[in-house]
Formats: sequence, structure tokens, C-alpha cells
Amino acid sequence: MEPHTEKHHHHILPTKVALGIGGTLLFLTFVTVWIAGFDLGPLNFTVAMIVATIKALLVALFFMNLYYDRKENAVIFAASFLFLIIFIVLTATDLFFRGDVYVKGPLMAAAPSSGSKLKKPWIATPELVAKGKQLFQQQCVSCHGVEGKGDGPAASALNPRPRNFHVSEGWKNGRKVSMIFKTLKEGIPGSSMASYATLHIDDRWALVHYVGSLNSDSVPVDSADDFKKVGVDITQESGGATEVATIPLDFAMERVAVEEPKVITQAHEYTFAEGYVPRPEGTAGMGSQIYQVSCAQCHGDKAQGGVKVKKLGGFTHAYVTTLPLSSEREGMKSQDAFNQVVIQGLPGHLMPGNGQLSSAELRELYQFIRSVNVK
Amino acid sequence: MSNLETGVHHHAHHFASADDEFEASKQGMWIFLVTEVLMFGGLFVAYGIFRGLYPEMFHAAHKFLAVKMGALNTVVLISSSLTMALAVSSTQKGDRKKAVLFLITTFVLACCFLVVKYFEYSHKFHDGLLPGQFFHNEELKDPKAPLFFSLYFMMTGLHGVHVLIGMGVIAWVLRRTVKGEFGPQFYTPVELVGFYWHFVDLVWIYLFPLLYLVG
Amino acid sequence: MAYPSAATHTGDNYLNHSKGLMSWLKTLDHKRIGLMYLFTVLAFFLIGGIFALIIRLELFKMGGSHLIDANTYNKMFTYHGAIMVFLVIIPAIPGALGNFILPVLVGAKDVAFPRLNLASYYIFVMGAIFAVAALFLRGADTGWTFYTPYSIRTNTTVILVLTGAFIAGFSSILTGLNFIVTVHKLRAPGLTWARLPLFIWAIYATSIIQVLATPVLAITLLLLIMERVLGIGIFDPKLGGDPVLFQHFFWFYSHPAVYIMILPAMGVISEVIPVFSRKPIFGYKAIAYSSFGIALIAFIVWGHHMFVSGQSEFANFVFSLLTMFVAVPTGVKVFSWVGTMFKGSIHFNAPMLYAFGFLELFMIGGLTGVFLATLAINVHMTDTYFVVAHFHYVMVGGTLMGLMAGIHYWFPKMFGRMYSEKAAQIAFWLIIIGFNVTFFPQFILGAQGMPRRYWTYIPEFTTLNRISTVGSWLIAAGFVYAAVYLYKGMKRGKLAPANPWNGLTLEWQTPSPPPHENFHETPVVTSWPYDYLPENTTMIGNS
Repeated sequence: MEPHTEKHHHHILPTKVALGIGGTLLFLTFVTVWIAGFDLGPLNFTVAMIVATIKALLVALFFMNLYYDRKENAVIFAASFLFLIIFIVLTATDLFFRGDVYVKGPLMAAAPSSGSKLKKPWIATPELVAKGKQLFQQQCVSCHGVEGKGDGPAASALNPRPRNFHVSEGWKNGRKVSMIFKTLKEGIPGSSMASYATLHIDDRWALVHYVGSLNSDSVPVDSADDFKKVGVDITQESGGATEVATIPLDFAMERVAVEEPKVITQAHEYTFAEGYVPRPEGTAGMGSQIYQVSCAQCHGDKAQGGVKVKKLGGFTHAYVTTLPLSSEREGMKSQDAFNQVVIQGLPGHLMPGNGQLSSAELRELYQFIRSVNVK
Repeated sequence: MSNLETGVHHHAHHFASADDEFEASKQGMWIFLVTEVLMFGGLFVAYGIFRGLYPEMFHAAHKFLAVKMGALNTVVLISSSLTMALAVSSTQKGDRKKAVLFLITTFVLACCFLVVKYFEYSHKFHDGLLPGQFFHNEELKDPKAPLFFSLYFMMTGLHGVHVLIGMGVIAWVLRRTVKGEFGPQFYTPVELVGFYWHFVDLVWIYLFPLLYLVG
Repeated sequence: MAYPSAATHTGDNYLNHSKGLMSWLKTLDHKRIGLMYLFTVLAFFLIGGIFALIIRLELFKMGGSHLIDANTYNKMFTYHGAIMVFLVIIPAIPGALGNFILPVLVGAKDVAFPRLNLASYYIFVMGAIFAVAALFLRGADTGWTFYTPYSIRTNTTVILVLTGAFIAGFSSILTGLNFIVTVHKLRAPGLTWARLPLFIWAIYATSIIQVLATPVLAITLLLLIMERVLGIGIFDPKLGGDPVLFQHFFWFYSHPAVYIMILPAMGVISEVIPVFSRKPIFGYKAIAYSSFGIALIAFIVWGHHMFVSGQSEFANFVFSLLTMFVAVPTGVKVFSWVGTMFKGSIHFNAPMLYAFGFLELFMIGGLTGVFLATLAINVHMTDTYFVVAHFHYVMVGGTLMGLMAGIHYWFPKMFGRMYSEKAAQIAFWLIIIGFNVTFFPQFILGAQGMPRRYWTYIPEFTTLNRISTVGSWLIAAGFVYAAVYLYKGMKRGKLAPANPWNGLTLEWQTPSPPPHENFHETPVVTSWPYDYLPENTTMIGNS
């Protein structure tokens, strides 16, 4: 069989062609290194890739014979690049569109920043109130309720309860405009009210005025100083704040560094309430031991509640304060009710169930808690 | 299996002809190269993603690569591809002497590539420009810089392993050429080793600019 | 029914062509290699199955106590998953049935690269040894998915398992490569693409996936090993990397991998249903092209394993949308199979029973896949038993039923003997009932919130878990019984004729078992292999 004259796929690459291709490749290498010496911005990458692709095509078509060979093989080889493109493009739909604060790059939209675009935003206007109402529905109703009465679906699990804006008492920071602004910006440490500093400042102004509009009682007027304390400069038209819509790290660290709840590791001596008869044969104090191990961390030594719980099981931001286990509680009204609560937990609350206790242990526990009940 | 002098090649029994066997072997090699594209491709995807996320870091880090050595290696590899192509065509023409000469040259050039690489790597080790947790260079301050060098070492390292394997198969084909097993009637292994070697060159053609020139 | 007696039936065939252990270990005969794969894969199926039984036994919670501790439990599901995925379901049909029958179906004497084929087998065994070796050391407890960062920090012998999977991946790649070139270059005269049996179309599409996807697994595992050993940081946020990137790399292979698992099974079903319905396959072209449709879509949907990983909303949306599309070519196939049976003359032999089993189980599995593709449902169902039930329905219900159908269909060809049809029926019902009893409750458990990969569960889930465990015993019984009667059939079954099922594809035109070179004379194909005429309803079958 004569390779020269027969089918193309036994093609012999003429030496001249080989040398020519080799020379071209070396020349193109020189070109690409030379061009890289100039700063053409994003063009550098494009040019380098074009040159590389030309070189690659020369190698594939001539050194690897694809130019002379059956099309089948070229199709097979080219197809692989198609799948590589699929791989990078679809991966990029994730990695380049995350929206996280820490991931930055040219394809990421810059974090919305800078100051207010409103004029004198600390003064309420009907437009701001209307916008605030809209935002309120998205951001706040889950805790504060549709009408801002502090009765949203998540409210029952929270202690302290979310603010009822219609009522004038109990506002942690007070009801002044500057204070509502501060609350939205910083949240309320020790409660479930988070900082909403990630919202644009204009959105926050809108919310401030909507919340204020829910209560018709008179509110003391803020002084320029009041505003200054919360970072608003009323001598400037827009309030002067040039915050980036992210939470500064040190601010966040400070807020998060809440004192860890006390962990009780030793059993205490207890004085039992009058009328409590400890069980014979060493089961005396079983209830208190179980209580120490399973309950005291959250409910306090003497079941008095008031313990601030930051983390609870899977919840890393629980931020609740426990209630006292007093005799008015539904779960304390009978042994059965108690068993129900302890085993299954309290639906809608963060109280977890504990299925490990036997009925004897539950009896002792119930007796113990009743005996140390604090009003 | 075959003899250059008598020109007889006994093809495997399940193929209808030697030509069929050659075509099938060639296609098999192309499919193998497809798998190599996807394997190296994974690293290129990682490169692309991280470069897109941290362009300034890549720019700063790539300045620490030895462009001259990279360019030299590019020249070396391209030349070796040329000599490999000439080795194949010599075999096709029945010129055993030239085929041996070109195969040896290809092998030597491959050695040169690895030697230059050795010097490059030594410099990096010396300067603390190491992958991941071993990175300890004072000048390059970007905290994510170790990532660039992880990619650099993974990509050039995997490529280097392929160069080493390439040298092995070139030596194997060289030995068989010397023994007179190849000629115009049968040169399949030479052709296929050539494809592999050209592919190794192809990967470097992209690696070089992506890492050394435009990082 | 007069079968040829032993005396007249002996002839030179691939089984007695050469004798001795070495003739098997050094064989280049694709049929022998196929058998070696078959027995190896079944051995690993047994091992993987034992781990499954241990898992279910633990979850039975007899007396409310624990059989094994939590760390051991993690290892149990890791081994079960890794062995089943990498050493059973992926290699089974291509390696065992594909190797045996593909060259015969295309009228060739062997695959394109017989030595590479044998090498593939040994590479597979080597990979398996590495992976199983880990069992005797500290094992692996990462789950078969090896997610970072746990897979980087755990001090179990993860690297051994990763290396095993890496090596086994090359076996898959080389087998795929071999099959593609065989189909391209070694078809018998007259065997045009339009006359290609659907099993070949299926294996061909599978091989394309194997060749494109598996190398990405290779680089993924390599990167993970480097991360563990050198701390390169690609998956470590401290160094700028991203642990979710690992998931992208991993699932870019592992999602197409599930189509590597199911496409060959669909190919078997496409062969079995026309034969046992005595009717031409409905929608030949549709089934053929849909194999490619599935193969292509396979590559663009991997992110649906990552909806709750922290992936961007945009990616979630894109992947959920794209995943919906895979239901289309799949539905085309199911519709075509049912259309084939319509007005056919159905023979309920074992292969056909398994085909029915496939249809029932794959339908449920596939449809629940659509549930899971729906973003809003997925965020509740992820990492619950709903997902576990889904993939067992498609993998076991799909691939394993396909494997069983194929084994029973081609058994006479492979061994020249018939198995006991009655025993096969009993085993089938044990398996199918057992399967549904095991896995259907798991859909309910998952919907009620039982998490997967958990060593324990709340008391409310006890009943369903116990039912599931009892189901696993039924499955085990079915498979053990199957092993028994199949072995008996192999050794002492009635001698099989060349064409027991009256099939029209090429393998039935050569003796059972086939001669060493598959055909005494190179066949010439002149017709489509599914031209079952209405009068052609007789089948010698298996009485």
C-alpha cells in the first residue's frame, strides 16, 4: 500500500510544511511575550488567548494531522471543549453571583453604598411613610405583625416580645425619631431585634417614619445633638451620612460578644420547699440532679428563668431569655402536661424536647421544680 | 508484530485490515485526548473562577513568576513538537536513521523542559512562593496569594508529570524504532505517541500565557 | 420439548476454548472479561448489601438501643454508598453485560482494543482493592460524596478511598473509549446506524458520558488529596478558596454518573420488551435520540444537588429549570416502551418481569426526581429520607432491575443453559415486594422530616423504619435465592438453544454459548432487528 497516493489519513506531513509551522509557532510565541510587555488593560488577556488559540490550532491541524484526516476525529476533539465551556459557565452562575460581602471581583455589583438621596429625611413625609409601609411588610411583619402590634407569627417564640408600636410604653430606646433610627441601625442587643444596617439608609428612614406613624401619642422633638449621636448631621441636606450598606466588622463583633450564659457544672445543695417529701432509697435529689444536668443552664438554678440564651442546639442566634417555671405555666399544671412539654418541647418556642427521660425521672423532675417554684 | 525490511505487519484478527486497525487506534487516541482535555480542563476551570474573583491578586502574584524561564520552556516544547512531527514523517518515509535522530532530539528537549522547570521550582521554594499553607513570602502581601501558587503548582505540576510520562513513551517508541519495527506499512505507535506529545505541547500553549503573561 | 442432548451440543465455544485459571486471567476474549466483571461486581454487591443490612438493622432500634456507635454508623453508610456507586452500579451493566454482548450485537469478533479491555478490568480490581483496604484501617466516614471541609479534617483513611475511586475511574474511561471505537469501526457489513440495536445506542451514549465526565472526577479527587496532604487551599475559605467549589467539581462528574448508571439499563429494557411482547419497538428513533438527549442534559444539571449549599440564587434558578428538561427524553422512552407493549402478545418470563419491575420503580423514582428538581420542595427535602428513597428507586429500581433483566435475558447465551423459570419468578416477587416495602416508607419518612445519614431518629419514626428494615430482609432473601438458582442453572441447567426467546438481534444467530470468535462466519445484516411479525408469537422460552 502506497501511503502517498492512497487515502488522506496516511498523509505524510512534508518537511517544509513542518518547519514552516514550527517557525510560525516560535514567532507567535515571541509575539505574545512581546505584547504582554505593554499594558493594554483587558485587551492583554484577549490578545494572549487569540494568539494561544492560533498556535493551538496550528499544532492540532498540522502536527496532529486533523487538517488532512477524517472529520470524525476533529469533531470528537472539538466536542470536549464544548463540555469544558459548559462546566465553567454554569459554575460561574454560582461563584460570580453570590452576593456575599466578602466575595469581590469585577463581575460582582459593587455594594450599594453612600449616603441618602433624600432631602432632610429626618422629617416625615407621606411618601416616606408609604414607602416605609411597603418595606415594613417585607422586613418586619414576621415579628412585629401586619399592623405592628408585636403579634407576628414568630413573636410567640421571642422573649422579650417584639414591640407593639401602637403602645407608647416599653420602647427600649424611646420613641424619638433619632432613637428609632438608632434601633434600626444597631438593633437591640440581648434581644432578637437585629441590626438592619444592611438596608439602604433611605429605606431605613422610610421605616422610621412608618413606625412613628403607627402611634398618635406625642413624641419629644430631637435636637441636633440627638441626631449627631446616631450619625446624622442635620446641617447637611441629606443627613451627611456616607455609610456603606454593610455592617462594620468591629461593630458586629461587639454586638455578638454577649456574655455566655452561666453553665452550672456542679450540683447544688437544695433546701426543699415545705411539704416536699424526698423519696426513700437514694432517689432523693434525683429530680434536682436531672434538673442540673438538663434544665438549669437555661432555666436557672432555681427555675427562676431570666437567663439569656445565645445559642441553642442548631440555632446559633437564638437570643432568647427564659421564662420562670412558675405554677401558672401550662406545663406546670399537672404531671401529664409537664410530661408533654418536656418530651415534645413547646411547638413555636425554642424549648427543645427531651425524649430520654423515663416516667420515674419525669415524676421526680416535676416534683423538684414544683418544690423550688419561684413566683 | 511487524518488520521494516519485509514490510509485513500482522494486524489483530478482529480487524478486517491493517488500515482499519490504524484508523481505530487513531480514534482511540483522540478519545483518550478528550479525557485529558477534561482532566486538565478542571484545573483551568478552577483557574478561571478564582481569577474572575480575585483579579488584582492574580495580577500581583503573577509578577513573581519567571517569565523568561516560562518563555524558554515554551520554545523548548514547541521545538520538541516539531522534532516529533519530523520523527513521524521520517518513519512514514522509511528513513529509520532520521526517525531515531528526531526521536532522540525530542527526548532531549523534553529533558531540557524538566531541567528548566527544576530551576524554576527551586527559585519558588527558595522565595517561599509555595502552595497553600506552605506559602511564606514577605513581599507578596495579599492574603489570598497562596491560592495563586496552589494553582500554579497544580497546573504546571500535572503538566510536568505528563511530560515525564511522555518521555517514557518516547523512549519506548525509540527502542522499537531502533529495532526496526516501524516503517511505511506500520507506524501507528509513533503516530499515537506523537499525538500525546503534541497534546502536552497544547496544554503548555495555554498554561504559559494564562499563568505567566496575563495573571 | 426436545433440547439437543449434551453429546450433540458440545462444540468449541468460548468457555471450553481454553482451560485453566491462567487462560481466564490472561484472556483477551471480551466474553470472558465480561464474566469476570459480572462475578466481581456481584461480589461487591454482596459486600455493599451487607453494609446496607447493617444500616437498616441499626435503624430498627430493637429495644431502643444501639447496635453500633455513631462514628461506626457514619462509616457504614460511607462504605455502602462508595462500594455500591463506584464498584457496582457504575461498572455493572457496561462492564458485565456490555463487554459480553456488545461485540456480538454489532457482529464483531471482539472489542476494538482487547488488551486495553483486560487492562480495564485489572485497573477496576486495583481501584477496588484500594477502596476496600480502607475498611481494614481507620475507614472513611465522610459519606460517599466526600464533601469539604469535613473530608479534609477527618482523620479517617479518606485518601485510600479517594485513590481507589480515582483508579477505578480509569477503568470506566477506558471501557467507554473501547466501546465508542468498537461501535464506530467494527460494525458488521450492513449494520447501519438505523439498524443498530437500542442496547448499543444506550451503551454508546453511556460511553460518551464516561469519557467526558470521569476525568473531571479524577481531577476532583486529586485536588482533594492535595488539599488534605498539602493544604493547597482551593476549598479553604481562609486561603480564598471555596468549599462549595468542591461540590461543583464533584457533581459535574457524579450527576452524569447517574446517567451512566441508568442508560445501559434502559438499553436492556429496550431489548427485552419487544422480544417478550412479540412486537416491534415503538419509537425506535425516539428512543435512540433520547439517549443522546439524556446524555447531553446530564451535563448541565449538576447544581440540583447543591440547592442548599450556599449556591447563588441565580444558579439555583438555572439548575432547577435545566433539570426539568431531563424528564422529557426520559418520558419519551417510557411512553415508547408502553407503546411497544400495547396490543402486543406479552410473555411473562423473568426478563419481562424485571422489565415491568423497572417500569414501576423507575417511574416512581423518576417522578420523585421532578419533585426534587422543584426548588421550593427541594429545600425541605434535601438531606432527608425523601432523597434516599428517590435515588434508591432509580438506582436499584432502575439499574439493578435492568441488570437482572439483562442477566436473565442473556443467561442462555452466556452459559448455554437455562435457569429455573419458577425460581426466577419467586425471586423476582421477593425482590420487587421487598424493594417497595423497604423504600416506599422512606418517602413518607423524608416528607415528615427524618434526616438522612443520621444514626438515630425521634420515636415517631420508629414504625416506618422497622417496616423498611423488614423490607431489606426480603430483598436480601430474593437476591440470595437468585444467586442460588442462577448458579444451579449455570452448572446444571437445561441446555439452551441458540435462540430461546426467538429474538431477531445478532446474538441469537450464533450458538449458545458463542464460539471463541463469536460467529462462525462474519454476519451480514440485512434488516432491522425489531421486525416481529404478528404470526411470530411463538417462543421456545423456558418451560
